[in-house]
Amino acid sequence: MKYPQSKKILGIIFGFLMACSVLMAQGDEVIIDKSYNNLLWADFTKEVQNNLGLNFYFEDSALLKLRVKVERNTELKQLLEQNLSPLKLSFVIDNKNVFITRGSPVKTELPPNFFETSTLTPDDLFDESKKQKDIHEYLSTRKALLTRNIVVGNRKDGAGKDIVTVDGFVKQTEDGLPIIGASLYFEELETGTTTNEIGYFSISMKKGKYSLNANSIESKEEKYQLEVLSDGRIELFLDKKVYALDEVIIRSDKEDNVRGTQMGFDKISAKSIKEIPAIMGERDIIKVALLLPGVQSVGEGASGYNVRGSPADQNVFYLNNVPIYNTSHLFGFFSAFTPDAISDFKLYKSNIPAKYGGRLSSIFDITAKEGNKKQFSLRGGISPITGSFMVEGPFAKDKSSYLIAVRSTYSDWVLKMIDNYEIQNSKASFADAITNFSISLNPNNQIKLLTYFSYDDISLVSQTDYGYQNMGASIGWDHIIRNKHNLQLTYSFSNYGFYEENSQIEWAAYKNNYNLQHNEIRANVILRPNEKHSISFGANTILYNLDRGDYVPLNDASDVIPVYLGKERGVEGGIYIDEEWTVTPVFSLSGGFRFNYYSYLGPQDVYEYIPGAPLEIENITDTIVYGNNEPIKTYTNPDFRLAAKYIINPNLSVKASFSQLHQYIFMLSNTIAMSPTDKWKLSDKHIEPMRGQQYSVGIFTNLFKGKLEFSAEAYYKKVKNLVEYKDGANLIVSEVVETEVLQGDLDAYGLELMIKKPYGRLNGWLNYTYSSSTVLVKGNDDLTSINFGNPYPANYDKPHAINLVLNYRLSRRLSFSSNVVYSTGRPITYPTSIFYQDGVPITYYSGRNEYRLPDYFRIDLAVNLEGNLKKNKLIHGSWSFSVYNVTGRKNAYSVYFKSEEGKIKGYKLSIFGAPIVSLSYNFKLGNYDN
Amino acid sequence: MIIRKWILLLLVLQFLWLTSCVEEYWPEVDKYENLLVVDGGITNRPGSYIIKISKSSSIDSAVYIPYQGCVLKIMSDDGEEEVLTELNPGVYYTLMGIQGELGKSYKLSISTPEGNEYESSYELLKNPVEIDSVYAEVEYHDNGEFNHPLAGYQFYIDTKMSESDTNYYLWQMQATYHYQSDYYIHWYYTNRLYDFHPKDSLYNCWRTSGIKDIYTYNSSLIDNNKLEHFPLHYVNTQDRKLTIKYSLLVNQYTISKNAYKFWNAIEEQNSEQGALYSHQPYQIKGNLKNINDEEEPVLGFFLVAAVDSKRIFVERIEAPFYYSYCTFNDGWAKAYGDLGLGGPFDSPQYVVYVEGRRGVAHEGCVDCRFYGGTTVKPYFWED
Repeated sequence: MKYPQSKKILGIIFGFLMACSVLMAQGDEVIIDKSYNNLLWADFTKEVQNNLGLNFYFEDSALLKLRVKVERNTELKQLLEQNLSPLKLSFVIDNKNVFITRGSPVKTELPPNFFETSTLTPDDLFDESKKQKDIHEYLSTRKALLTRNIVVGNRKDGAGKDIVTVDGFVKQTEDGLPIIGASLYFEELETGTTTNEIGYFSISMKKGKYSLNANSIESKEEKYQLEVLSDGRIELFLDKKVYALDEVIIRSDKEDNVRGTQMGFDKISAKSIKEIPAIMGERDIIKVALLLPGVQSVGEGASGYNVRGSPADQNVFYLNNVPIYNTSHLFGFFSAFTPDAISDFKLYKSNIPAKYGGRLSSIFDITAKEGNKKQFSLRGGISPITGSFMVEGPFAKDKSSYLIAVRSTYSDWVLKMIDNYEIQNSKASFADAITNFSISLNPNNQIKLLTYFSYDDISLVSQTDYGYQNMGASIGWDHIIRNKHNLQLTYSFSNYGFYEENSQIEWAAYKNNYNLQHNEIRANVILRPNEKHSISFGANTILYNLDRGDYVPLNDASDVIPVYLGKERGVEGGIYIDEEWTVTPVFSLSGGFRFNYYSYLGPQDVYEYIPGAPLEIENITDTIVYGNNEPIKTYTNPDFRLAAKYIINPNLSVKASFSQLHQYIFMLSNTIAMSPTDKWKLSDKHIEPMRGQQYSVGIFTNLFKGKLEFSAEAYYKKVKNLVEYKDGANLIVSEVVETEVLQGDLDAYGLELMIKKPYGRLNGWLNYTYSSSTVLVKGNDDLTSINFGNPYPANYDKPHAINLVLNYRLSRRLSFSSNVVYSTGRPITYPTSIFYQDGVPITYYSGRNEYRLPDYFRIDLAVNLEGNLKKNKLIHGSWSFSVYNVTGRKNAYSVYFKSEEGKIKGYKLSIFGAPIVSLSYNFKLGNYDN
Repeated sequence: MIIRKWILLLLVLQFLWLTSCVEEYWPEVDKYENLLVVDGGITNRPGSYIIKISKSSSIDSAVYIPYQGCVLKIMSDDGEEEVLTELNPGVYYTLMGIQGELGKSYKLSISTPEGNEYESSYELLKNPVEIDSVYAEVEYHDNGEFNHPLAGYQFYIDTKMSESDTNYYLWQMQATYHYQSDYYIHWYYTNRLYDFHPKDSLYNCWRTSGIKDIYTYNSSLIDNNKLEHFPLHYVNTQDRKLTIKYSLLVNQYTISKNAYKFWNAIEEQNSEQGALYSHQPYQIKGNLKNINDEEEPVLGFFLVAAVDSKRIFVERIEAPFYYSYCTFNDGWAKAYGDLGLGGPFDSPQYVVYVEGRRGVAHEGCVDCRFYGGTTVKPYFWED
């Protein structure tokens, strides 16, 4: 391959592309066999690294600006001397490592056969180093880089102790950002640990020598030799995987499929879904959840996720601890998260950690990207409907960073250009923004601050206006206690509100609004008494302030009777403890207990009913007035979590779990899909909290040396006190909710099979889910029953679902990907016959959800083309061309009926009735890699 | 309404490179046909009361299927009872003079020729509530067939509320209107021309028809003991209804909660089409069941209600009309000239005389009965 000759070096950054070596090593002498002009230091080191495996270790910012001129056949030593001495930098070449320090050179020589015969202890090395202050500082901060041999602590401190604790951070070499979920495995212990949300880990062990493997999804694996002498902290730096993008699609946290303790768990990172085809080219990490086993939605373009047979209000979406109550734009076509600002999300669908309470079905724990701590960076993109933009960079290098991301539609501009009255007077705009600040006060204390905003403004022919918005913020403090334990304190705030204005019918024109405020304080402590136990405990408290809104006439011409639904307040708290106990290296148990406290608070007027009679308006006997913050009804409930894992062999494990949870807030929705006008409601004196129990078992195996991962999980779930609406309940103006709802049982079970090929040019997954979800509301009579007390399938019950996701990387620049999605059609209530009353034909419907829509099937394709791979360029761009619903199958979203000229006609509505072709462009500062 | 909203949203999105589509679709449904349907009831007004029994028909061909040969009995809670007489197929009458009394409860029992026994629950006959007034206001409402709103009368009701308990209302209405054909008939032709006398005998008609819309109200939504300006029927200038005079008879039924639930459900389901965010359709529960098979759905309702009525007349609306009407043209004249060539005719050919010309008009232009009315002026009509 010809290397381009240019004044400006066009570095090909990846060594493997360089067919001929430009460097030659001859004994101790390293000769550079090529001439360069004005090569950036970073590029220079990379070339040397890539071609001769020489590692450069340096921490001096002066070097970043250094440009190196290289004459052909220069000796490396000579070259470094020339370039570094003016900067007062010293260097040492030690076999394959080049150390550059300010001041005196690093002592690199360790005694030969250090690990076998320790005639010279590392203490000596450090003692000696202490004499040289500069070096000492360097060593203490960058021990990991200095050598792959790490000595933790010293003999003196360790004297008399048998068990000691090693803690520290795992960070990315490139930008200094913490690596979350990095796994550390100690071969001799046959166990390990993982880093938490700030890249911190801590583990207890006997003093001694260990081989440590460290890796993460995004990073190369590193091996270290650890000599543990006493308690001590280490810092490990892992390099980004060069081929990270196509190597990993999706991986469970906590190591892997087999060894991980979690079940019913998935983690998806933004990088890994980059290639998955998206609706209208709009990258949407959360929607990828629908391709996972056990996750359904009512239909495409519907907001709300149904996880393991539960209704959508049994999930919570946390974005860095901020709960987001409406996660969708345009009623559900897109997720309300700026794609550039999202790093990953974790989905817990069975064994939800005890620190989370309050939702029965799942936790979507979304992590915002942390700003780059090394350098300023910028990225953006344009799709057929939105433009997005993100900036990030350090406040204080290596310590504090910011990230600001915004996205907005430009659809209004498009709509105005269309020559159609109805379209021109319509509006469909949305936007969202995330800012994320990370401040490291010192190695033991970190502050994180996140803000979130999203809004939608939809207007149809100026007759129906919808607007809804989320606002949220969280501030968190991460503190490390005695090099071992972790304290996390978080305050979060979230506000969701909507308004609706409808003037389609003049005399019935109305305004309707709603607002929910969530204030939460959370404290979490992670203790690691020894290597066999990990304990976390803590508490959280949520204060809910709901304004259930007004339903009032829009103008003077309207005859709507105003209804003021009033406000409500509740406080939900919990204290919990979670423990993970590695009983033996192959068997572990984890258990959690959470004590929930919920109180429905005044001010409120609460009705009393005739005891034993159905809660109906006419059975009201009295009104009790409660004062401000006076507890009206208090519920205390215990939650349990139990899980066990047994590793049969390194490639096969079985896991089982049981959990019980309670939920104190639910969605008032009588509609089929989640709609923006659905209102959350608190449990109160008459509506009891929901209780969910789930049992699950699973078998997990890695096949072909981990090339394929297979899992099979089965679950059974039972929800008590599920809130369902009486037939014909008026939910918009229902002042007295308890008279409009009934509480019943939900029964769900299923089997989820998943096969994954996480790595390689061809990667992806295939899963099959069999599931069933049935609701039963049976009271003493028809008034207190739904569907005459007969069980009926839940709205989202889709027994069979198959998802196939495939990515194929043809070259570094070109990749193809595809989704294939099949599921049974959702249940529907059909009109079945006609009867007459007073000469008027009336439609009689089937039992609730007695029929099903036709099956759903869809194929998507995408081609992703990355910009060129030049090293030095201002902007790297990538194009994504995607076709959603390639076959153009008219999948039924809904089937509805209209009476036309006295005859009933059926219609099928398909949201995407044809292939949707889109092209989107994304760009970022810098090259392909960063 | 809701469908329209969604289709519009989808249309908007379509211009944002989204495509959606609506196509005709007919799912396979065959359940719930041939179920027993009850329609009728008892009021505090003197009878005879009529109860119609029919069977539900399939959804794709809506037909009224009368159920003949049943034995119906109305019973009160104090032992009074009357067996009904089937005078027309599937239509059963009280002939012995049973009359609903306020404060008493009534139930209906049915036995079919097949031997099935059905029974309603006891329904209380509540006190009637007096209508304060019914009045009309000129309003312009949007209309799907026109690009602009059309004028029309919107009828409103003001009514008292019972102070003692929750009020559930059902309004049923009957409209009667006076209208005219477009031309007098001067002669008619069968095999020769005859004088037609009097010339306006088919010119004025009155048509009476039930209003198909159902209106219900539940007083628990408001605090004061009066319901005002509650919109009922709306009639526009799209046809001849408002051209001369229009009358609306409003029957206000005070009903039980169960009956309210039934009629309110029917009102809701009649006005709503199930689409994306609409409410879930559901089976409307009546108050009857098969005594031997509780699982069998029985449709319809045995209504027990007190009634108060009010009639209102409104004059021709002063606004443009948008109905089609006939005008004399050369074709008519030519047809008149050709009368001798054709014939004899099975039905009379009506000859009009306009500005000195004769012509043959279509019967719809000259015989007002063509639009369903009768030339007999109703007894209540006020000119």
